[in-house]
Amino acid sequence: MSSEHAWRMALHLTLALALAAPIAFAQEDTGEKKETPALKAAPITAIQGGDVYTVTGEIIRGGTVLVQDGKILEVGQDLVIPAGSTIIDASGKVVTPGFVAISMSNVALSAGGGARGGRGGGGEEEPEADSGQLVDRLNPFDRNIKYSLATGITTGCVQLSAGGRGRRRGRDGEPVEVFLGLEPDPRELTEEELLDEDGDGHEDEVCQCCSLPIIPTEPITAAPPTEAAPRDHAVIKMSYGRLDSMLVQEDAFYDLAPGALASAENRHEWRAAIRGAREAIAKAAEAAQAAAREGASEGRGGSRRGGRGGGSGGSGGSGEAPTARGSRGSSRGGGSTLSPELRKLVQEEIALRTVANTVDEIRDMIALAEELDYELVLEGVIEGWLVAAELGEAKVPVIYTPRTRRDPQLGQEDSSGSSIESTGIFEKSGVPFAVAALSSSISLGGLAGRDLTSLPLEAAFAVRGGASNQAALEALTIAPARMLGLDDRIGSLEKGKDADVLILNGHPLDYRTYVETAIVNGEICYERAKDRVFPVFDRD
Amino acid sequence: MSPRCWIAGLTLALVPSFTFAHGSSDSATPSAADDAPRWAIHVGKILTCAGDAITDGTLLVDGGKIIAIGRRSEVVVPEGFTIVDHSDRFAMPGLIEAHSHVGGSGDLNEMVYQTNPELRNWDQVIPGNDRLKVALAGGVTTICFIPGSGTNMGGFGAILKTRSGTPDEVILRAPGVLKIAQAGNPERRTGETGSDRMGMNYVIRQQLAEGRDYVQAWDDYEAGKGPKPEFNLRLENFKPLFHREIPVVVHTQQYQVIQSTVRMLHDEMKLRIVIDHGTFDAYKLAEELVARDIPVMAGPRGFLRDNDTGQLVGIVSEYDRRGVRVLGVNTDAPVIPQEELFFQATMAVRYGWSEERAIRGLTIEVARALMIDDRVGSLEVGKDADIVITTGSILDPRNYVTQVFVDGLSVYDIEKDRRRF
Repeated sequence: MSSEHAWRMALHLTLALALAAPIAFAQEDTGEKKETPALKAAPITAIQGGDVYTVTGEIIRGGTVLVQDGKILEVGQDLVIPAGSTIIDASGKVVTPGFVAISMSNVALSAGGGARGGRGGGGEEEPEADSGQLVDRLNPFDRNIKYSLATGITTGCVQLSAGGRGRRRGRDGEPVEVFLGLEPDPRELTEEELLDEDGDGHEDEVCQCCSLPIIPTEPITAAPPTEAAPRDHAVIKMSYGRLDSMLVQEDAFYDLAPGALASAENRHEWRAAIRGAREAIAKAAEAAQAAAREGASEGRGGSRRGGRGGGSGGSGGSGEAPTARGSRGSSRGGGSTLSPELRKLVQEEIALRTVANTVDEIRDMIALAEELDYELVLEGVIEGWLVAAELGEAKVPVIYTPRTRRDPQLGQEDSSGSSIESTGIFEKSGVPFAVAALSSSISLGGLAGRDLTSLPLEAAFAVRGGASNQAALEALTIAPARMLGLDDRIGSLEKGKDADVLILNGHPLDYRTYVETAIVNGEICYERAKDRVFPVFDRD
Repeated sequence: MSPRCWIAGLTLALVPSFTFAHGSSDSATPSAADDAPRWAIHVGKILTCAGDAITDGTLLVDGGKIIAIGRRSEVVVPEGFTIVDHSDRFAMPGLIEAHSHVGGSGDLNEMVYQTNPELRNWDQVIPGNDRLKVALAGGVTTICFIPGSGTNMGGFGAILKTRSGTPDEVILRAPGVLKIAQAGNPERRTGETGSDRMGMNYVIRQQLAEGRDYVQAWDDYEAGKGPKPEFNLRLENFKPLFHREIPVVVHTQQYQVIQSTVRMLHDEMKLRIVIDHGTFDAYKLAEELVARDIPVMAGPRGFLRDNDTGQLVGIVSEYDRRGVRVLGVNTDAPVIPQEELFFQATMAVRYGWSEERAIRGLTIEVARALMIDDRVGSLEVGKDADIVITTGSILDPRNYVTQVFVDGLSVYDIEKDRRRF
């Protein structure tokens, strides 16, 4: 397939974008290393003897994964291991691709700043929407990267800005009530604030007695109309200590708050914004063609994702549209200015990600995406099990937290609220799902199994809901990779993909399993016995 | 209990069970006995929590009690028993929650006086409420429903079954426990004695001393050794407490706070106590708890970050390592949803606890801590027929509950009910 070529181009473009702004930095420090690596000379690592869960292919018992230059060279049963290879013995262990966390926050970013964030505020202090801003915020030595790796997460879709969800208590100046001396680390509070990361737009409820956050169970209602205020995400590798390989993709989604498309007015504006974006791109393409006639030509890969209903492919040539900077918040006014994310959305490079929980919200989002022709990823989908056939039909993937439990509306016990069997229903209906943990951040407050470090356990709850082990494993790997349009790089163990590999001491969905070794881009970034994140012991 | 014991129990139980089945149905309470389901439940693996597991076992249930348990080949199923075939499933005793606030209405913190021994929450019980319905689907059949920790002594709580029924039917014991809260939550109260930890200890000690003297005066009177004391509604519930018939469940955590719990409530007041959070670094005092046979029901927090190394420490496994044997977990529901009680044990095992002890820590050890192990907590002849059927070990979140019996009644059955969890 030509897709390999396409992704290489895309990769180079992404890298170019990422490195363009901090070019002085990059050139000084890594200029020489960045020269095309000599493929033949690069050393080979062989991960040998483990049961290899490729995810997209078979489970290879006693298989081998060969890694070279950060990529998977080969995966198979009886591979010849080239002389001089570094051997990692994985016999008796399980080898899987690194997990992809589709909802992640407060990891790998240096504290404070909020660069690129806080767009709702009209932008008086808003920094230029520069790739440089993000690269400067990356923190390859963030301890949370170790916690993530210990969980098996090698790639995260990391939230950069708070967005307009209005459910972070800290933002509204209402502090979490705490008891001095009981909370060993004040840092946890900002993390626990985020515990209600189900994206439903509801305020967190906190236990009256102990101030610990309570997972809401009351019946859901549709989100009220809100301002758009898109949230930014970037795809970041958990390559601990290695800054230059961290940033994978700068704009992961066009992420709108629940309620951003809720009213007639909001939808009118949204239609206008999409139409305006298309017009701007068309104009730019015309201009580019005119320029091309004079010589210069540059091809740009079209849609990178599989696409609902067959993908509308090459929706335009260069598309280097007038990307007016610093006006992203007001881009929805349409016409004259076009944010990079909106351009990527209409060109199907990224998907619209938004929360839709009720049946009506889900149907509205599907209809709007079909009308305006963009990729859609739905989050929350508490009542998705009731319209799973429609989601499957529309090929809309979902981000789901299997432990979501919301009571039905009175009198509608069989047609509202959540269902523990959602994941099984999704699988049967052909709805791809990625799993999100109950919280998108690492919390050290002591509640076990509720934060990002419970991601594989949350996938185990997907099995409880009727999904197969395979679907649950995909929900941690290839399903989120596809949502990000990065399934050519991550999400499975296949030749040519990034060497993001986990060595586990048991089945990936077993609650007793620990990550023994996490390899990111071919480099060992986490070792259980050495890094001592989780308790280290041998189970008899 | 060793396997020999249950076989002995089995032989003993089978003989009278016939007479019981015959005799009770046509005598004293005919309608109730006719309605009382009699079950013969065949199970692939029975985790009895009273000795070894039984492979290919059978449980006989009559009159709300377990009347026989053993290998399927050894248990004779009498006539009139409805056979339930779960031979590809697991059975275990119903899970018991040591610290729950979801047994009824949310009126759990009076917040006027600092100590409230006059308060009791069993009038707040709502049997079979929505949260308890889901709890059943998580295998929880008994909860210790207690007042909140907004004040130093929140009042007396009740121990109840999670099934629906009248309050009299579901309440297993009331007063069930006294709730005392040390440090943390009551510290929010300001401007009076008891707003810091020194004051709090004084307030609790003073109130308990008053109660102890009141109970002593009545005991003396009843033994003919003293005058009749004046009846005091405020102090009445202290009687079972100081007679050591019910325990105090103590909201206590951190090393320093647990020290005062042990010294004041156990050593000085001579009360039966249950450490009901025991989190943060309190496990470092475990040796003192072991020496006094004090049970720990740890939670809802399950781990601590060691500030020296940054490594996470499993709290339950640390108690276990130091020898605490009456050891379990709690949810503090709704902080952790009541139905996720098992998952607290799951996480404790993930952090280093043993699976076998975790199963006991969800059942019999909680029953021992709450002093209800004569009724619940294990699958043994004579105990309440609170039986949970699962697709495998309840500790694995991939497995789920398929049927629950409480007091011999089938109260949740995924063949009939929508799966709730």
